[in-house]
Amino acid sequence: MLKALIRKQFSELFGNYFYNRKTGKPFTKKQTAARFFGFAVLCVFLCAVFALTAFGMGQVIEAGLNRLYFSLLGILAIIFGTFGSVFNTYAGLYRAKDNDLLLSMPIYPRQILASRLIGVVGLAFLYSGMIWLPAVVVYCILAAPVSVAVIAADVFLWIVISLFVSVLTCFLGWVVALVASKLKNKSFVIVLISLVCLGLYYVVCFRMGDFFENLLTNSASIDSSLNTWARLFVCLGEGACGNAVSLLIFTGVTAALCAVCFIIMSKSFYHITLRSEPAGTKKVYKEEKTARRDTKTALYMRELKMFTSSATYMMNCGLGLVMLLAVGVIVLIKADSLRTVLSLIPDNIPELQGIVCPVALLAVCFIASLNMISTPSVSLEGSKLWTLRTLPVSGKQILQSKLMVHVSIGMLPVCVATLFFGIALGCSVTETVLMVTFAFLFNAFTGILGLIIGVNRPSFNWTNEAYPIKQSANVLIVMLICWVASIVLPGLCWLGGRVMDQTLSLMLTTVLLALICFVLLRVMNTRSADKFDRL
Amino acid sequence: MLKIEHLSKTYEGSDKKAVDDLSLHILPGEIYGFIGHNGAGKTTTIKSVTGLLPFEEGEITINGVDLKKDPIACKKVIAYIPDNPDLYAFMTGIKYLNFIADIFGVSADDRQERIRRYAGMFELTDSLNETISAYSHGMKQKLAVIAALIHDPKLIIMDEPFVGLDPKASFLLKEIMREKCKEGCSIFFSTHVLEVAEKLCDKVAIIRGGKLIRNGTMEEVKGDESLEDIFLELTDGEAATC
Repeated sequence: MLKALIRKQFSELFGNYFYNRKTGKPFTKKQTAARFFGFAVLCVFLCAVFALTAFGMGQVIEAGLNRLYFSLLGILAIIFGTFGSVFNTYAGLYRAKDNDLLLSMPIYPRQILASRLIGVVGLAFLYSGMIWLPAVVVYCILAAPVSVAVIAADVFLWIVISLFVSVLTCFLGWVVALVASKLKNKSFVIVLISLVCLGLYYVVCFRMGDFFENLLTNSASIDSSLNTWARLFVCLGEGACGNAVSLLIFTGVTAALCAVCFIIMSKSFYHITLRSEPAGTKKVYKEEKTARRDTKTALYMRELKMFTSSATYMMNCGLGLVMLLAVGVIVLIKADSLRTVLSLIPDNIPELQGIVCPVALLAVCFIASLNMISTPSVSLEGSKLWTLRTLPVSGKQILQSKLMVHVSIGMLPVCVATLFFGIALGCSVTETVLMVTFAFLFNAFTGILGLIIGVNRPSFNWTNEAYPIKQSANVLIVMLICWVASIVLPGLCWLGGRVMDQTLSLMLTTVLLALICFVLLRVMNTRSADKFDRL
Repeated sequence: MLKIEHLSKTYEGSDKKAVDDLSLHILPGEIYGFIGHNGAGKTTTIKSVTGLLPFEEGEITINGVDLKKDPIACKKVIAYIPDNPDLYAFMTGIKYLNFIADIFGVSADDRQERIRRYAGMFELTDSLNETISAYSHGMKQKLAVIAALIHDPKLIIMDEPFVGLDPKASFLLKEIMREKCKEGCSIFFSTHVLEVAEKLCDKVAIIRGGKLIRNGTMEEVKGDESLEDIFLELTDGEAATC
């Protein structure tokens, strides 16, 4: 029984490798092998990245603080493993769609739970291994010769760390489920948390150099602090170095945590699974008169609601806008440094003259290309397309409402970031106005192009909205075209600036982009609209 | 109100006609039942009439307007209720109704009165502030019915409208259908519940393998027999081949 459940669990986890989720058809053996190969390459790449991190900490080993090396990398493995698998744990344990089906069969709830937990442990094993294994390999290289017993202890600790991570993900998954059931504006809060995590990630990446420097100069005091405040992780480090007692302590504590976790979860499994869709407080409708909106506004509001109600949609297709604002503000803050760099450009190199505006436009447009709101919007209609198709609205009106959402959401960040670039780089008022106009048109260009391609290659048979948003080729195609355009158009502006006045060149490039937008808009309003009417 | 002339539809990649030379006339104030086996072509016909499916041959006229020439004008007077209404899960019930009312240009007073009336009838008023994702299948079906009635259509097209409705809601829907017909609205619906068709419809059409095999008033179609007997007798050949 358990075996069958585990097989089902893993077929769910790795279903993407064997079946086309879109068509439901199985992949050929070659296609499956290619997918596994791709996954293996990704794992190797990540392992290589973490191996470099481990090498960066090599001086800690040279200083004789081997336990600190393993403690820190162990903590990193636990953090990476936990954050890597917490949302899968949440989905697998608390949001599984087959709970009702399985509970209606003659299966003990603890067996269902065990099969689900094995999936959780499997993922934790994978994620934590991407840090722990390179750490062990690097240790073997730098601290050679290393005994077989130490290597065996390290491999054993990989399993123990996976179990430790699993306990943490179960707890965090429960917290996510609890928070999700209480939140009112779930999508916005999820986006906000994701942005904070992303911001933290970038801060950590930028500060990694400082961290290593600090680690190397103060390794003894860090080791001492860990010994005082996080003794358990010191045991992990000592165990990895071959200390049997410490290994037993860390394993014992982890085993106890696992046991407590399993007992609590098996006792509350019914409660957890049957309450997977929390009822919450019912907001009773109170009749009120609603003002009539015109068709255009109604369609726009529907489209806007579709965007703002999905955290996945906002995060994946609107991230560029947040990045634009962030880059704009950074550029403004670092304006003096940028001007100093610009003043260093020698006057005798004609190629570098008049490069400021094109480079600023390239930067803004390159990031603005990540604004993909319009591209998946056609496919996102999915099984609900019938509503629009039976309403007395034309395909042109629908596409225009989608474009309006794209343009209106992107307009402010794109224009503000370009304005900040213009101010920071000391561009003239005319140049800044032209740059802002160019960026505005580029935002419209990405929207129109996204819709033309979205209508041309729609995909309505998805079960998870992440498919049209993240996995569809449309998004990639539009992004690549926009990236090419963000290089070619400023490039033309720069080339033009070498044979004519820079401002005139900028103006002509802006006119060219306006013409491209006009032609594309015509195509969208005619061919694409007709195609949408026939979808 | 609805005139289907020689409608034929073949799906891409198939050489068999899903609907083959089908003609039907539905007059104002008529309730027209459309019955047939699974895969007989009912939904294809209904989707063609609502503009959801393009068709190669034939002509569909709604309220005197050619569907191919002016689909928007046709859609302004019709309401469609699918068999499994997949509604916008991200909207609340009231926002969905207001969205539909906005598109059809229903005045604030009219929509308020209709929402109050129909949501009250279907006991959905209290749930209108909840997102549709929290609705059960039956609640979604009721909301789709209310949305269909909110703009006072002249032609209502329904695909298996009673599936998923509780007995009280089914009864209410039948009452509403009769009431709308008295007001001059035409109703064209498919169903597998032959008793309902027999009791409710003025006219009935039986489709088999994409072809209309019998249609007319209930008396013309069934004579002295029950609709079930006639249906089984007429569609027996297809059932045997299935």
